[in-house]
Amino acid sequence: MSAKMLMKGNEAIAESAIRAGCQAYFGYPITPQTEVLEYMSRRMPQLGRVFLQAESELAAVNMLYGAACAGVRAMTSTSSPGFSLMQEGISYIACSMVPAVVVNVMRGGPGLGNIQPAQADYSQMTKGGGHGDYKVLTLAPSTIQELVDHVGLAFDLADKYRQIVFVIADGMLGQMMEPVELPEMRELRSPPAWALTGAKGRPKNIITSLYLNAPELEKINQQLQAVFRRIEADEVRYETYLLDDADIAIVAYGTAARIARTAIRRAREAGIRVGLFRPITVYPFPYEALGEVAGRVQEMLVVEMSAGQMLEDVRIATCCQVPIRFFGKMGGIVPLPEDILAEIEAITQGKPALVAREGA
Amino acid sequence: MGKNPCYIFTGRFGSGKTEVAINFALKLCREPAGEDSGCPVLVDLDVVTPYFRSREMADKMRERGVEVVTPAAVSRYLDTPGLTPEIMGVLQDSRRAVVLDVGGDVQGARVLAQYREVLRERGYIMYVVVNPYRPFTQDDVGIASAVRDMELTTRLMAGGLVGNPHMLASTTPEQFLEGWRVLVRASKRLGIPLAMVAVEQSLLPAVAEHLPADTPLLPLERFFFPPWEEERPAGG
Repeated sequence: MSAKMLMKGNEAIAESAIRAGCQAYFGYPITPQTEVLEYMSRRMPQLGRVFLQAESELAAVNMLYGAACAGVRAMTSTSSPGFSLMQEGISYIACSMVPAVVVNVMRGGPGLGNIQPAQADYSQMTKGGGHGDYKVLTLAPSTIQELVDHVGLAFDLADKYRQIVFVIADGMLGQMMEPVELPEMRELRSPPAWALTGAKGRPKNIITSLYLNAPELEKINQQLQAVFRRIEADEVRYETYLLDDADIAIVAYGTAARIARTAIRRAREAGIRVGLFRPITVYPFPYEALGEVAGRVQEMLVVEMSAGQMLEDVRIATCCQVPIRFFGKMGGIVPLPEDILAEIEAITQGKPALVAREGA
Repeated sequence: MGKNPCYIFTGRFGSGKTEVAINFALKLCREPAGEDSGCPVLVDLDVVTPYFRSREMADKMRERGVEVVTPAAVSRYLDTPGLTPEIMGVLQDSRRAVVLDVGGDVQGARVLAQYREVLRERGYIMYVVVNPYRPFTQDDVGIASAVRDMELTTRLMAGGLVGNPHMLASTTPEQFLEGWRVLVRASKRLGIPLAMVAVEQSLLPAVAEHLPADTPLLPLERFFFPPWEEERPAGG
């Protein structure tokens, strides 16, 4: 068969992790990401690697912590309520400075919510969802191919910064299918020098997140902050679409960005100059690039499947340079291109300058 | 075999069971087979897939004459097993043909086991839907394992493969034909007929001349679209 395969987002997450050299996967089933476990439970034993269904997300994240300390590439995945349960462990992993990958396939909340797609864990994922001063590099794919690419990239970035890395997805991305091209199977990387591999014949390594001595913990915090400043300087990623001549910029990520594209194409057909700014990393957020866009458009429209969480970052980035309109759907409702088109049209109401003249 | 058999669509996750079952039901409506009396009842037995299920198309189906029986009403938003007694009633009533859209994989097929006796009594044809572009069913070994898993789980005999080779809207005629050849080969090696080959209507003109004249084709109209895709006008 050809190299291309038709994959569900959740399967793509799993296969991409396997090909990136993930040696240990721990998870607990929760819709809409359970297919990651199902796929891993089938493939990991075939390859002689570890698949372990934990008794809860709390257990899964601590197993992830353990595997990461042992120096193997390891991952867990979950959906919103499960992600909340993992926050303690994530904070421990961040403080311990070990690489690990967590994928959150978001669903409607708060609370148990429902199993439909949502983007309402943005703040939790990008601002440090657990206790203490830490942030997590977070990649925001909007296609299944990008999901494949980002899971592989997440492992590399986790290694590069010795930090935990998130992939922020939603139920739509997890459940839908698209043709993907998979990367080659990579060789397993050997445990780094800092890993806990048995100290026989070498000085012992200690990995901990417990520092009772305050000046020592302050030093650890300073080290962490230095890592986050490096991440903020070097890892900002974003994409623009039809933005060069745009009067209106839509800002959206993930599934919402996908739907915004369709609305933008339709608005363009109606002569409205509108484009898309899509953050690919949501932490670090592309503040500078978006601030520059704010200087040359008339208005911005932020679209999210939440009450407006990324909206706060857009406000910081744009420093009140332009009016910002917000359109959000909550509770697992996915916005339709028509909804976004109506918002674009509402912006142009009474502003004929925003609609191109015939032939323009 | 009773005069209105029950057509059962099983297969691996994401093999296209629901699209195939919906289109097969509409086809039976248009061209009643043999003694079959008109439009069938479509039963959505999928208790494992959270999105893109027959029940979401129920209104569209009813407009076109296919009655749709779903798990409990609340399960539109759930993935819990909420089967209603109505389903047993439909299976026992052989005045109308029944099309069963079963959930994916062993987990989805397990639900069928409780209807085994009534199905055997009534008469059934169990199909295993295979898309050779999906993980785990790309070759003979994978396809054989899918058939075996379905038979062992349901304890019913598979009567045929339904080929569904596609890559969604991006499928090229070459990809369709390459996938079809994998299915023909698997069908021969496994000794199980390739009962139908599903092909999206738009691809039909380009591939028809490359297929033997007696290839049992099931032209597909797509029902499920991601929200950002433009829905195409409904075909025949």
